[in-house]
Amino acid sequence: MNDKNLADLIPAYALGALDPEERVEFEAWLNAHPDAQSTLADYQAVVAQLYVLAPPRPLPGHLQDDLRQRLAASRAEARRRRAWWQRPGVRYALAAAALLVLVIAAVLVLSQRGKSEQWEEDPAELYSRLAEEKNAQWYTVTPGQVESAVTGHLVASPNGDLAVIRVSQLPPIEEDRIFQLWMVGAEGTIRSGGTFKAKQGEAYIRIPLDKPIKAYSRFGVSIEPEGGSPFSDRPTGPNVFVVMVES
Amino acid sequence: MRQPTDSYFLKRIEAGDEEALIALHSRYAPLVYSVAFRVLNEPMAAEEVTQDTFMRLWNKSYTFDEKKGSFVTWLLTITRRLAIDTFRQQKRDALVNPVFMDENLDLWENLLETESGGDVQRSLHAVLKDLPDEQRQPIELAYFHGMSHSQIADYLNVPLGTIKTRIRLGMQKLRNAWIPEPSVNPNAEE
Repeated sequence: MNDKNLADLIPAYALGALDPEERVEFEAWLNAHPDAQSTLADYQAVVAQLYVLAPPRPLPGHLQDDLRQRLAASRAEARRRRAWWQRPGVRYALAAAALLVLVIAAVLVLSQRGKSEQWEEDPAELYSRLAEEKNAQWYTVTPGQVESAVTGHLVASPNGDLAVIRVSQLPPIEEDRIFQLWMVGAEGTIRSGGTFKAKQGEAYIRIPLDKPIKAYSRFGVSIEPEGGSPFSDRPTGPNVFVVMVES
Repeated sequence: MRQPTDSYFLKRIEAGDEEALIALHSRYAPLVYSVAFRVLNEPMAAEEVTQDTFMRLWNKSYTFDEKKGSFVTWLLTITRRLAIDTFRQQKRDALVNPVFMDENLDLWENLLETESGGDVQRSLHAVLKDLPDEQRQPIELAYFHGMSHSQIADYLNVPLGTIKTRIRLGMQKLRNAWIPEPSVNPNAEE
């Protein structure tokens, strides 16, 4: 497409109506044309008001009581979880189990390291471990162009050499599709960080950092054909979410 | 008496004040429910999305960033995403019926008053009312159902290029209403 055709897509982009291939081409054009940002901002402001197209509906009267019940249930669930952890017997048992796990893990680490340098801590465990670090670095997951309520965080070690993204509410994808992580260096280079599947919309994604996290500007995840993007340096599918690292 | 602002209630929610959530529910649930209903066209599903939206607000209020837009925009983005997810899971048919915006216009205007720039929003509202169906329909399918150009073309059985043109022209009219340009519209009232 030429510049004129791509500029004509600004309203549809703001509306979220571009097809995946169009969107990839448009976003590349947009990055090269910062002057188009103000026009895009105008259209995004328009889109923010389109709710007035929905005919007003009278609110069912019971919804507020229902919400109070949901809040009460949420409170009770939080108490139950807390209570479970706080029972003394459980706490001792958990402490003993944790110690046992640590010993086993240490043995496994030592034995695995002897066999291979490929061993890596489970991403979920690594996430929990990093999350407890006092000076861990935190970044927020921002939804991309795919309509979803994806949410989550990236946590990195204080020195930035380890990082894991935890996301939930990833959109459902076809069986022959896969999520793919992309790592964008501060200098703009893009490389794949591997592919992954989600379980019930949730995933822990370990980022294969080859340099400290601050050397990257952002990380993103796209939906790709099974096996991943045919290109090692760019996605072909829609962007599901992004994590901005640079301030 | 001056009503507390949304920001005040958001801070209270972050502090765990359930009554602050109830207050925002009183203020915005009719709007959230109307948008969810527009996507799903079914009361039970719309109720579910409405409540999920407010529980999301309860659990994730800290993710709202006022620098990125208004609270209402953020809340309705959550609503639309949840509703569209449900819409897709349930494989419903999208509604393309004409919208009767003259009905209950007062209700919308009251809601519009809650945000700044009411005059401009009323102007946008007026243009939306007058938008030809052929331009409004594809805009609605994209906004309320998350459809892309080609999905809309298939759904309406209209050539892809025509859909692109209709969306562009419709959105341009709305933009001109949102940001009046005297050079383009010399008759616009100050």
